[in-house]
Amino acid sequence: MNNRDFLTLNRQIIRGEANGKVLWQPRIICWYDDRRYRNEPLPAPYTGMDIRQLYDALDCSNRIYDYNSCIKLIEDSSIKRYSKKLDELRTQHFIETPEGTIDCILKKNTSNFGEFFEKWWVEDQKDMEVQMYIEAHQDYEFDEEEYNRVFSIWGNNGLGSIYFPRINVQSLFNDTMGVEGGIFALMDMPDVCEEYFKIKAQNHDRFMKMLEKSKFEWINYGDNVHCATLPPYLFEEYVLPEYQRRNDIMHKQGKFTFAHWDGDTKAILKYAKETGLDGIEAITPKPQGDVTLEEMKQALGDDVYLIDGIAAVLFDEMYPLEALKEQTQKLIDMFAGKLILGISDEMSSTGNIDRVKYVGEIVDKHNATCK
Amino acid sequence: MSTTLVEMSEFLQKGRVKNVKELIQKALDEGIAPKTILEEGLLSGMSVVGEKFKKNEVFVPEVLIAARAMNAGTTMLKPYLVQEGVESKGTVVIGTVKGDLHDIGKNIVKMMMEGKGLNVIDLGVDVSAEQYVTAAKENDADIIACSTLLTTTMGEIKNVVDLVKAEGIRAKVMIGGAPVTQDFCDSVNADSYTPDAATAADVALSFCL
Repeated sequence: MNNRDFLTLNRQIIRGEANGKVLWQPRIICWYDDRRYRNEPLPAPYTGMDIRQLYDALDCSNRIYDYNSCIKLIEDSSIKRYSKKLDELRTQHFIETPEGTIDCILKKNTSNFGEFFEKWWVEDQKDMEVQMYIEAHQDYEFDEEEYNRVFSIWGNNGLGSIYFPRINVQSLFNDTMGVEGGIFALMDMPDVCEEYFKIKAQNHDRFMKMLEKSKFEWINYGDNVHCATLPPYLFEEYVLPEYQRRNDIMHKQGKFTFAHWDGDTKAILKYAKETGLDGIEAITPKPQGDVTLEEMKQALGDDVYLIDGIAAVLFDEMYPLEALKEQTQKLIDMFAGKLILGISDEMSSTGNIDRVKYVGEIVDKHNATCK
Repeated sequence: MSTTLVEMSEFLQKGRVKNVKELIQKALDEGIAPKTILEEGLLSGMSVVGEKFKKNEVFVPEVLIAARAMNAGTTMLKPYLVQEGVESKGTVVIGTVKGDLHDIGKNIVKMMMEGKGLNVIDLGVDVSAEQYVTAAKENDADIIACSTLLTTTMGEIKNVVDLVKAEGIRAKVMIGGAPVTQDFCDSVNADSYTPDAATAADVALSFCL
């Protein structure tokens, strides 16, 4: 195992104690898993390695979301879940409650391990009432034994990372109704949606109570924010106040918070400081996203950490290595001290893994100049 | 322009289905031609939304609710348009390319194109080159529009362009999506790359005129 203590550097950076050092923490799981799905060997010299060995070989840190398995969802006994396989790819899932039953259909992808909604859980007010019952009757537990198991694998490679359940509107779009259904619901039945958001916030209060007892030091609000679907008026009305409320509680617990904004962000980056977030993950600069590094710096200032920052397309060979070098160096120059460098959002399976190592060398050179 | 049509356009921009339908009935009762209602009441409203979307003055939610109102209006008007012999301005076959399951961008482009009076046939997601070409032939399409969000599926666009050329069909191939660029468009010999949905609709219309 690689003996580099990335965990301590990770901790020092988020505590502001790293003297300008930068942690290189690329997410490459998509690249890795797509090969595993295709039974395709990793390229040399990584052939035969598992993901843990791969991170060691690449000499970099992982944002270790394997720790998500340490959070156990506890549901009231009145909630029953069951599934029915419809065909080779499609499965219908049911949740039965005293308020009624809702169902969704998930279809497996044929090119990776993912699956997507063919039918969403909630389609009307009646479904929404069932969804409210479910979320009102959920709680969470931290599983320390599982934490220790994951730690035994990843050790000092990085801080344990987990996803906070998605925030109100983003959950509506990504978990229960889909973007189109969610947008129509917000227009056609705003009172019902707002009632649902209240119940969801109470659910998240229980999640935060669980976090207080956990060992997690940094918490990712895995919201998948994209300003084309979450424009400023929805952000201001629903998301901003909930971020502020939540961050107050999390900061009292001493947690570092960051949110995953992996789509276009130009229209909402101006709220970055107001949110109370300590950092924002996956803001994607040009040529892939809609913002420049200068616009990102202006929005985050010296207050909010940038987590990631390199446009994922620069790891593909359609872009010259020089473009990757230039963006990496510029990010370090502009954000070091408040930077956990990574890929916005993840390296694609068409990316060149050697470029991951290349960025690590640039980071090591920079860190060697810090005290 | 008739005040009824101005009001209709404004309600459409706000996504107010009920008001739009009431005003269509009112316009018909006033003796306004269905084609005029379509163009000056519905499509003009959607065009305003498209322009604002292009300038980032409105976002996907506003486009979706306006498109829903437009669809409700065009459904109501359809029998009158058929009776009057009004035809669409062109036919587009649209889909997200094989291997890619993202559909929001494609759906927005579809709505914008419909907002220009084009007939859009939506093949959904994970669409193969063969499916595009078959649908284009069956519908004598003017345009094949390919959407992709993933770098992994960009290569599929070349397969579509190559098959279109090999089959010798007349449809122009338009491409778009987050990783796509003008350079990529040139490299695969597609007919047009557009950076946003509203521009895609403008270009599609220009290909049909």
